[in-house]
Amino acid sequence: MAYRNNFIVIGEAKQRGENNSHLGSGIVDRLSYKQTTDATSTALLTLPIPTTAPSMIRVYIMLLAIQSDGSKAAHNASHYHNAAAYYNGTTSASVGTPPSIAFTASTTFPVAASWAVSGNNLLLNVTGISATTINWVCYYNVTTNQTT
Amino acid sequence: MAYKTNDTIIGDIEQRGIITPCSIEGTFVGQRYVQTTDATATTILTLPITTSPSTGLRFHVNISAIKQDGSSAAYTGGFATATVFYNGTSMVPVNLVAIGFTTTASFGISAAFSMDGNSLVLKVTGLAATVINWVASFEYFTIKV
Repeated sequence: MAYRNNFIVIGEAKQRGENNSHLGSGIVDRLSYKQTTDATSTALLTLPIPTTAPSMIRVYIMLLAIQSDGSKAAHNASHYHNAAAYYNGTTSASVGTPPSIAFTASTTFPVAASWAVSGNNLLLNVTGISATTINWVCYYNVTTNQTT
Repeated sequence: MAYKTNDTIIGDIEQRGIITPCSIEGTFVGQRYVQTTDATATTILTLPITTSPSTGLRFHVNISAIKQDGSSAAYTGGFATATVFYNGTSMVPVNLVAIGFTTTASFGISAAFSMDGNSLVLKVTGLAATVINWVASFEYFTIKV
């Protein structure tokens, strides 16, 4: 085990897992950013699901949206929001029903976000407001359960 | 303070804590893997706890499980946490949360915290005649007066 004192990682921090015949995963902590200017659903996160063999990913998020003029902001209401998707050897799907994402907002701020699986990717889609510039930031933590 | 780009660390991480009158021994992050082939409760993690008086530990884990054939998968959808402390004589659990799973249809697996002497133990239980790959990704911190 290596010890470091108060280090900061710019970009992606990946703690790789044990080295064995199964696990090729580790823990990834990252931030993602997107700006919306209308009410079109937009992918904020696109997380590939490994497809070399039956595998799954699990992701934990903290989501923040703020109107560019600083007048309103919102975050995902759940203090601990998880989602997961898996590849069964042929196709990918959500593990269980994709959890709905509710928001807590400063004032009326009808933004939305939802999970989807498209192809072999787990998507976090966000939807802003017509004629309104909104900056979205998502902290996410991904772990993978992957046969190597 | 060091700045790094795209740092990859093999094994567990210790992020040293702040210096206080007591010892906050940083945040530890790690991951464990086990494969089950039956319905026997199997240890995926054993975490020995320092037996100094007034030592407390707060632990959080995310578990994912997938059948080897890819037909079913599951994950801990909510908080899976444990809090224990050493009272000078023995290790005492403050709260060992019952671990729930979000699953695909008909995947009756389980996991549970327990104590074994002065260790916090996490066990997973699979299904008879079924190969399941489990990954537990965890973080914890301790405080010692």
